[in-house]
Amino acid sequence: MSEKDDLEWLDALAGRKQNSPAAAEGREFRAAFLERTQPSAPEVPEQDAVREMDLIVRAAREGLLPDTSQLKETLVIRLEGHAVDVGDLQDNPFAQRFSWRCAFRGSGARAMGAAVLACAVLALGWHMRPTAAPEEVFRASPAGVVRIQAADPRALKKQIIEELQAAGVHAQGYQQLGADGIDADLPQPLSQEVHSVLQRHGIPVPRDGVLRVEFAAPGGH
Amino acid sequence: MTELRYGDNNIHMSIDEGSLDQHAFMRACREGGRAIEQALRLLDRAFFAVLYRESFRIVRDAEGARDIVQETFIKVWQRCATFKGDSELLPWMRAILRRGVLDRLRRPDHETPLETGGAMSAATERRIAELSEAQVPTPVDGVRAQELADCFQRCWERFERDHPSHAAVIAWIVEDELSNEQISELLDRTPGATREFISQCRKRARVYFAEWYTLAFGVAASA
Repeated sequence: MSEKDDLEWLDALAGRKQNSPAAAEGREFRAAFLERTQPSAPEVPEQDAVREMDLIVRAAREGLLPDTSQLKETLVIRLEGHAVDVGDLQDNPFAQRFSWRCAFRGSGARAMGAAVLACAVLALGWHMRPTAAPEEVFRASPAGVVRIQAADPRALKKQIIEELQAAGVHAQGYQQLGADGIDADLPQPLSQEVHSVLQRHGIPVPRDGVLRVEFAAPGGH
Repeated sequence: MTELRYGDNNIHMSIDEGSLDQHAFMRACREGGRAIEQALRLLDRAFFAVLYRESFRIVRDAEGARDIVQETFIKVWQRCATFKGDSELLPWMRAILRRGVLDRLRRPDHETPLETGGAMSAATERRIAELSEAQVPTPVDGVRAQELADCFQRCWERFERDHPSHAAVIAWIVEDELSNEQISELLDRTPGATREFISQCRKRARVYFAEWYTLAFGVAASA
């Protein structure tokens, strides 16, 4: 068996014509192989939620998917969009669940201080509430993409695009991988009209001027 | 084929059995984050069945085949930046799957040493040489055809059991008519190492299919 023979055998095996003893060997083998009965694989459904989740979990284990640290980054971006100094909140002594019983257990001065702080936290929460329409709900937005959950995602997408365009922004909609979204480069500095559109829908101003919003129906991904 | 079009921007995506828009794939690769999760789901729906069938055919184990396909999808995303978009996704993914199959088959417990006995007889080799320029003998009746087919099947099953990676490569050569260069790429080896591998495939086939060659080329087994 020489190298030349082997290559002629390979060519014949792959259906390429050759005329040699080695090719005859390969040709017959190929014909017999193609005629043989092959075992059939068990049927699998095209869509299998358990199988998909298994894949997602595996991908997360491999580090392919965003982790919760990106969720934290998104919340920071939102807070800054509402002119809140994130540094003030980093060591929030009320990070633990507030308890009225604890607040009044201390001395009068401490109790008063606790009550004032509690009021401040409540006021801050009120100030931070989303100003978007009731049907719009924000979710985590990794990698700078703002996600909005809406009863009618496409209608909302169309509305925001129209409002941005009216404010002079060249906004484009897209549909990809099951998600409706908007891409837009915002003018720098931001005009009042554009700022109003974003504020009206509770969309934080992107630091880099690149607006990316994705829409989903409740319960969608 | 399902085609989705939205609004005046006319962004659309085509979902077909065994195909996914490569531009959407590349965009998801660039975006990362949640786009990957959605893309993984879509990959599973579009390609799991076809890749699973291919994987099962070689490894013959449902759990193992499923594992290899999932591993393939993970590798697809880990290497998505290397996909140039100048071809369909399926052939690229199939190549990744096949390398995964070979890696699994090459584990030490999967291969048995080459048997030195039972090689093709000299008489059979002479007969093959005689017939190389003449018409290839075809079975004259159904009984002989069935006998040959059964013999080939037996030989193949033994060969596949003892040398699964060589059997897998031979199967892919026949089915996809691979060239030496394509085999080299599949094995991720140099052309020289690939030629050596092909030589081993042929040598092993001659040992395991000696009985069949003898029957097919009309030479008595004792010759």
